Amino acid sequence: MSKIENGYLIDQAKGRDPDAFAELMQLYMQDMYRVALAILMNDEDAADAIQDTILACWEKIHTLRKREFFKTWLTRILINKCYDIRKKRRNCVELEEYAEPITEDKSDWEFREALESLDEKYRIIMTLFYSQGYRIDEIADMLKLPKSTVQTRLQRGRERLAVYYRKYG
Amino acid sequence: MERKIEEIFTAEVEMPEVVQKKAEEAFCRIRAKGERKMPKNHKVVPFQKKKKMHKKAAAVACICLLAVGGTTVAAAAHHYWSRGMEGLLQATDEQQAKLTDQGLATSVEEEPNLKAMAVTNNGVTVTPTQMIVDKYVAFITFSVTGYDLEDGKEPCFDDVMIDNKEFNASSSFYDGLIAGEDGFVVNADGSPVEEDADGSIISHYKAEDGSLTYQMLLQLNDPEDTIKGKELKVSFKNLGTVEKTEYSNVMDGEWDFTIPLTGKDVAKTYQTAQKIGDTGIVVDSVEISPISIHLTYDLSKKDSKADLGEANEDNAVPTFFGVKLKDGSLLYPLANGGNYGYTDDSQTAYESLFALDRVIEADQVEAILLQKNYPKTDADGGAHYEESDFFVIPLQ
Repeated sequence: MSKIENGYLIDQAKGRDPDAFAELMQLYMQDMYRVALAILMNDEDAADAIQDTILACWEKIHTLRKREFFKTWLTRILINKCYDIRKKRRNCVELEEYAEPITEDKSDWEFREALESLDEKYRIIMTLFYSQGYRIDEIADMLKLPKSTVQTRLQRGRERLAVYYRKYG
Repeated sequence: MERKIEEIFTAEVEMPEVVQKKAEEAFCRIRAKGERKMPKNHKVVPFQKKKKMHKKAAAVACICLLAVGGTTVAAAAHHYWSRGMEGLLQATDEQQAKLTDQGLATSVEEEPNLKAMAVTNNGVTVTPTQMIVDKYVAFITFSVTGYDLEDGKEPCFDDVMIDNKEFNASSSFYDGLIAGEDGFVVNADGSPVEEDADGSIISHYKAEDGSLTYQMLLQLNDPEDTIKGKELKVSFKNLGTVEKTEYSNVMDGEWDFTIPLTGKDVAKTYQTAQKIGDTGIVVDSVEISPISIHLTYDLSKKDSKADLGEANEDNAVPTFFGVKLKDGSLLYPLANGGNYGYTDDSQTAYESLFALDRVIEADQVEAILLQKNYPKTDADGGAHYEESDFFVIPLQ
């Protein structure tokens, strides 16, 4: 879909057209899933986070100032919803016990395997940088981290993956 | 290694059923709330402040008068136009007076009913100050007093809910910037803009007395309907600041209004029946008022192989861009947000409805301009159009 058509969908969604809004969300479903998975590491929680994000975006889309910020705005809401779910889960059970293996037998196993090989603090940054194409300053702004921390974690994430692939091919 | 990481993180992922299922549940809940639906196939373009547009130097008399520097014009303008209205709809003094006499515009001094609707909550007062209404569009301004906006910040309501299914609304706080004589943005008093360290234009949200202005543009969804005579039901919640996408709340509050939209239909309709070049598309009619324009098209004889111009390469219907006046000059871009699309399932009937960003002398319009090509780039980085970049559709 072209940028122009994307912009039209955003405009229509801001005009409270539910069909346009649904179409717009579907365009970003893959991106949302990658980010949610990177934080939550299981499909059920990722699904909840995405559902919460869709509903929150519908309530708030009229507050979006400029179309070009849509993806950043959406991602920011999603990250917050993921953190809310993670906080709730931690109150109930240890995360290591709760997280399901996500690799299973899926065609995108390399992505899932990469996520599993990384610590939590590297996963989201690697995903935002490589999958979503955000710059370091944008990631720092989104996650409320210093730029230097983002840079360091990105570098460490790369190193960890390099070690993993050297070891396991 | 870097390339491998990129490939892994950008490869398509298999979407689990549970994710799609929960997303669909969310969409069902949204639809079940019975939100307003747009007419079939209609696209909406909200108004956006034009920042670095460039127009031909031979821009017309009715724009030039507005942007003349100095206090005289600005002071006279405020007699009819409330603060912020010039950011929504530019007009000369004469045009402001004429619209007021015609009954489209409420005069700031002579419409106490609007001021009587003021709502105060938590020390902040929101007051409707003016409205300009024709058959299809309404421009409305509100003053916001009692909120001490921090310097350098952009004000924002946390929520603006409009409980009207009949129209679309675009709204924002007025930033004190308008389009100047040459099309580049200037401060409302005509002075050149200043930029901050990041190269962003410095806005002026606060008036001299510290008040803010909130602007709203309403556009009808259905051209068979009329906007005047309806009541705008709007609710503003909480007040704060915004930076890019992030809202920060400063104070809680709620300000609710039910505002009768009073105005006048002074539009003139031309049954043009004019072809758009050799495209086979016909502009059936043009309904033009000083503040809006409504076009109907017939696509039943559209030539699928015809050249629609580079701006319409995605097979779009050439859209309204401006007007040609009887003195030969061109006024563009004029559209201030709009609504367009097919009105039937066979996709042969098409309509568009646009608010204008400045008042025009409708009886001085000789032709309308539909966009054909993109502008040419100038040596100084600006851009301009030639008449050949448009499909020119005579009104008579």
